[in-house]
Amino acid sequence: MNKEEITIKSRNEKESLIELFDNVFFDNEEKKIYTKYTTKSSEELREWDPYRSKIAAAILNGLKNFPFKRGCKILYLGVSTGTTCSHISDIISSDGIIYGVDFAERVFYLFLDLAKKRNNIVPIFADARLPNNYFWVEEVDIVYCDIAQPDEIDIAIRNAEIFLKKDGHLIIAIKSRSIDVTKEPEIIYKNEINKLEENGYKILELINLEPYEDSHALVVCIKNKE
Amino acid sequence: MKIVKKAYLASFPIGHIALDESGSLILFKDFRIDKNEVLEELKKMGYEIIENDFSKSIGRKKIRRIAIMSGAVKDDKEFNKILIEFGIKFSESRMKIEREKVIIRAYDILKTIEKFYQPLKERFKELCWLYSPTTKLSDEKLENILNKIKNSKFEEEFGIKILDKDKKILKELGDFVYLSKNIKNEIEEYTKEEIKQIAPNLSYIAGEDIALMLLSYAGSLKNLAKMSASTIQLLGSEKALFRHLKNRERVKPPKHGLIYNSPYIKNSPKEYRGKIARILASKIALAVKIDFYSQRDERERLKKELEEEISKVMKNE
Ligand SMILES: C[S@@+](CC[C@H](N)C(=O)[O-])C[C@H]1O[C@@H](n2cnc3c(N)ncnc32)[C@H](O)[C@@H]1O
Repeated sequence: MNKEEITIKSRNEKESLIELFDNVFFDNEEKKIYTKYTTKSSEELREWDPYRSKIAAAILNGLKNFPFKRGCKILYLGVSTGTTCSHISDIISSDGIIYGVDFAERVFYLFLDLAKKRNNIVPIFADARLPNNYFWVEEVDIVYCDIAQPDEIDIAIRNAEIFLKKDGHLIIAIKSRSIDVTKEPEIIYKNEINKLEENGYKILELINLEPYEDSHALVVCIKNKE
Repeated sequence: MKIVKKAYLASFPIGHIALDESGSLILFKDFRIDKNEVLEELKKMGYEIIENDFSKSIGRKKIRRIAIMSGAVKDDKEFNKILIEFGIKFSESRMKIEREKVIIRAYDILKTIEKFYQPLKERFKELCWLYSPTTKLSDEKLENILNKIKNSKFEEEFGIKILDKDKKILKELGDFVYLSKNIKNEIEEYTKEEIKQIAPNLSYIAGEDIALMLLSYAGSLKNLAKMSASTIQLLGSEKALFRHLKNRERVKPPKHGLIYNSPYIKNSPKEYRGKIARILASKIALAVKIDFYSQRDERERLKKELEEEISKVMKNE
């Protein structure tokens, strides 16, 4: 089934369904987003919960720069059990690939199950502070970092230096409370943005994730250098 | 002056890729080819081989396209498939290392509890004995007492009136002994279950107990997998070995270490034990290597071979 047919079919089922990006649908009536999971034998619209997934929250809050597309190659730091990862896996379809990193054993068992079910997720049990352990990852189009660590930006930059192609997107979910509880979130975001710019990243967008996540923001930038 | 050409070599799950400074391909060999062969070939071609971050960084940009162009993989999907399989293996083996540490720590705790549980139980029996001196306390009787104490039924158990302040301390001690025993059993079950998961072949051949001792002694499955059969045979007998080395004339070399606890050795006549220990050690060495390197299930084959070899020895063949 091609894209047009699906949209028509979806329209028949639901007048209010709009395709926002590749495989990302928005239900204008219920104000919900879905990703479409396609396998050889079936298609399924899976609800993307903004309370559990920061990218979904950012979309609902008006994110404009959305580089996740069919066929994308992505390095994802802090996949946890893979909730968000499963939706990105829907989006990029079987032409793309996600390299998913986490170092917490408990969540990784669940993530491994997901990777075994899908055909575009490479699980990497490793510490994102030590990218040498997964040096074998190829060059990617996007680095997405959601690890809730005080030195998150440094870790994200270090990984982007190694794995992100020129003009690729670096996307970071910043949790202001894990950086400094005493400071106002806005001051922290400003600080982190400065760091990114100093390192040669061009900021495209900063999206506040309230009310879905307290004192969280998603920053999208572009790597301007080799 | 002769100009030396440089080849920047990097190895990826899909294969080895060598590029020149400008990023042009020198050669690509898929992952089935041994790296040494690649090194040889590049040397023959007159290249100086460089393997550093720069090699990885330029290799990383081209690896997918070149793997597909060279025919090593059919298309992007096949490339992905190989990487996914690699990632799963990579992650599972790294997680296993973490499991090992957990198991070894838990096993250390078990040994510590075992060490204090025995004397604790004896002292507690002696205390109870003061209240009911006519019967000697067996372990079963103690079990009974612990249960009654747990429900505060002192009089029923001891048949005499007990001071309240004594009751209080008896109950607390009783509960402690009871709890210690339960925890000890639970950790024992847990460690046995876990060692079976990470080293199924070893656990089957050596028994979970000895498997745990060996793992704890070696520090990791990797260390154990690297040991020769003769090292494994003597593992845990270092003291005896040392005594022998100091005084070769008077002290015989030890024949077996930890594995002496195996029923295969314990239940056989003394004169065969040395030979059986050697057979067992070599099967254990093999089992660990399988657990560590290939993770195949070869339990039945190994056990069959082990028992055949032992019975041969016993028949003096
Ligand atoms: C906020 S959760 C991520 C949630 C996930 N991105 C989602 O949306 O479904 C943060 C994760 O980062 C992982 N993490 C934190 N520090 C890390 C590090 N240095 N290396 C790898 N993973 C890390 C944690 O184990 C945790 O699973």
